[in-house]
Amino acid sequence: MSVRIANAAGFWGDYPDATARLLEAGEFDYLQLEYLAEVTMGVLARLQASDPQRGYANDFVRFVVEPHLEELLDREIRVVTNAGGINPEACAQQVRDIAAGKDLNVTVATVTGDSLTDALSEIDSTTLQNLDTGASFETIVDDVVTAVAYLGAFPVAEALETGADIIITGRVVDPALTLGPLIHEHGWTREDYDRLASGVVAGHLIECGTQVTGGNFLGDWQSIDFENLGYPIADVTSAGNITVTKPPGTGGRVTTETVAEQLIYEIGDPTAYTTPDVTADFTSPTVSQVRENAVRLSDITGTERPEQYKATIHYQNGYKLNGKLLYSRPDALEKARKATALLEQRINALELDIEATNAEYVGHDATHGPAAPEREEYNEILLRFAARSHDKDALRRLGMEFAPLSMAGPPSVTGLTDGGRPRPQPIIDTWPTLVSRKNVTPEVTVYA
Amino acid sequence: MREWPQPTTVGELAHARSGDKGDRVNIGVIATDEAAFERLGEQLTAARVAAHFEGLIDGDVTRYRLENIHAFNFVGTQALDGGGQVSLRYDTQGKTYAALLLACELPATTDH
Repeated sequence: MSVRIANAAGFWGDYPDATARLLEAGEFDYLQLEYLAEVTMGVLARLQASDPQRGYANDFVRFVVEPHLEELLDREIRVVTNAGGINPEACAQQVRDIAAGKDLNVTVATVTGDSLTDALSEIDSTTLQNLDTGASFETIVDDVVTAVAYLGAFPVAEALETGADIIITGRVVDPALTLGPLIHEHGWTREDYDRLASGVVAGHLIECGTQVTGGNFLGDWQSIDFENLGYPIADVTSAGNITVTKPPGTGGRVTTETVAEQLIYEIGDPTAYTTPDVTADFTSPTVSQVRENAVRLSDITGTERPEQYKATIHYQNGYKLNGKLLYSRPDALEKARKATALLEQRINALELDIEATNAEYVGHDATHGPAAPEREEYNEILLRFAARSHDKDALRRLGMEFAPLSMAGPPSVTGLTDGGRPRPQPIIDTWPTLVSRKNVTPEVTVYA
Repeated sequence: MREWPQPTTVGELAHARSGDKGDRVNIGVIATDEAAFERLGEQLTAARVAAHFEGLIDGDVTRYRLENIHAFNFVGTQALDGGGQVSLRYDTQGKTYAALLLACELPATTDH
């Protein structure tokens, strides 16, 4: 027996018609949608602060539930998504309101218990040090915006046991959206390490949507048909063998190369990819092409899960802004560099409390920095000058220093009507840490 | 040790993808065949990658080996000017680092 799980969102901002593309030509049992990047959690916290009914990824409601709920129910495709963000209850309510408006009978379940925002004060703060820097939590305790533990796949499976059609979670590890249905369907236990690891690998491969079907492929990318790129489907057997495919007639390709690029995407030590359910070994899968646009992964192994939950504390850490000025040839780079020097001089003359600046010359070094080779002549250079500070007023004042350069600086500059004065944006920074299992209680709620 | 009489670039031997986690970048480099994997194993050391990314990656570079897909995973710390939210760079997430690594030159070697 195998279970087919499709992904229709690799991040919040993915194609709104992804679900339509899959439903048109794909055959699958579960639809999963991943919306929560690290940066997204901070955005959601700010949205909820302005309106308590927000704080979830409403792309899910607008582009999946509203247009496709009836077909999903008819075809008995169950939906698993982390669109709940920091407010799964509100997201569930929205889905139920839409169903009621269409006279459709839907059961929604939420997975919560990931939020640590209220519990932080009860946790020994010395255990919340920054995993990367070792810094003490006390240094940011007053700046916390929201805090979450990354839940695993067993609460997702538990939500599916209730018979719910749509599962809306808060923060879970991304592969849990795939592993949850597999635990539910195949009856895998907490000690089935190799199979759990297979589910993690399957989830990791499809959770970024079209990045496994040819999108962003850095091999022979010219030969990829990006038009109507197919969203991925993972077919996973009870033994843990995975076949990655895409719907027939869609663009892109699934090869051992595209799968390898995604397998290795955003990982650390490949022998120890940790989740709350299992530690997966990404050096274990045997990867082979079984037919056109179908790649099989087998022999996947895993070991015991880590003792603690991974958690992220999102906190406000000052502000940043960037301003842009476009210079044409001749001497485009030299003009842009002169403008940078003038901006730096003005920061000093005005005694602005700016903590860091960065000048990039788009067309020359914005992507590759000091490693970019310098050329004789550029047709044009876009100066992008960015700055960071905890003093919002200083940044606001700096934002007024770009437009004057059009009349008071180096010549042949343009682009000032493009967006007005740059304004400071709050930085919602991330603080990686670990929390004990006793501080986290996953919860499943059914809304019938 | 094998000899490689011609200099080359990583891009001639591999394809790659990069991404972020906080202030860390990871660059996965996948060799096109076994000979390419062997040469990358010899020449594309963590130290060479660190030197190639001077000014972009301020911390350490660690190399991991994935024999199953003929790949290496390079993880750099303090690699993204503080990470996605804090960074003042255009490429806040190191998405283009993979392309930069493909431009890395590998010298010819002779066994003297």
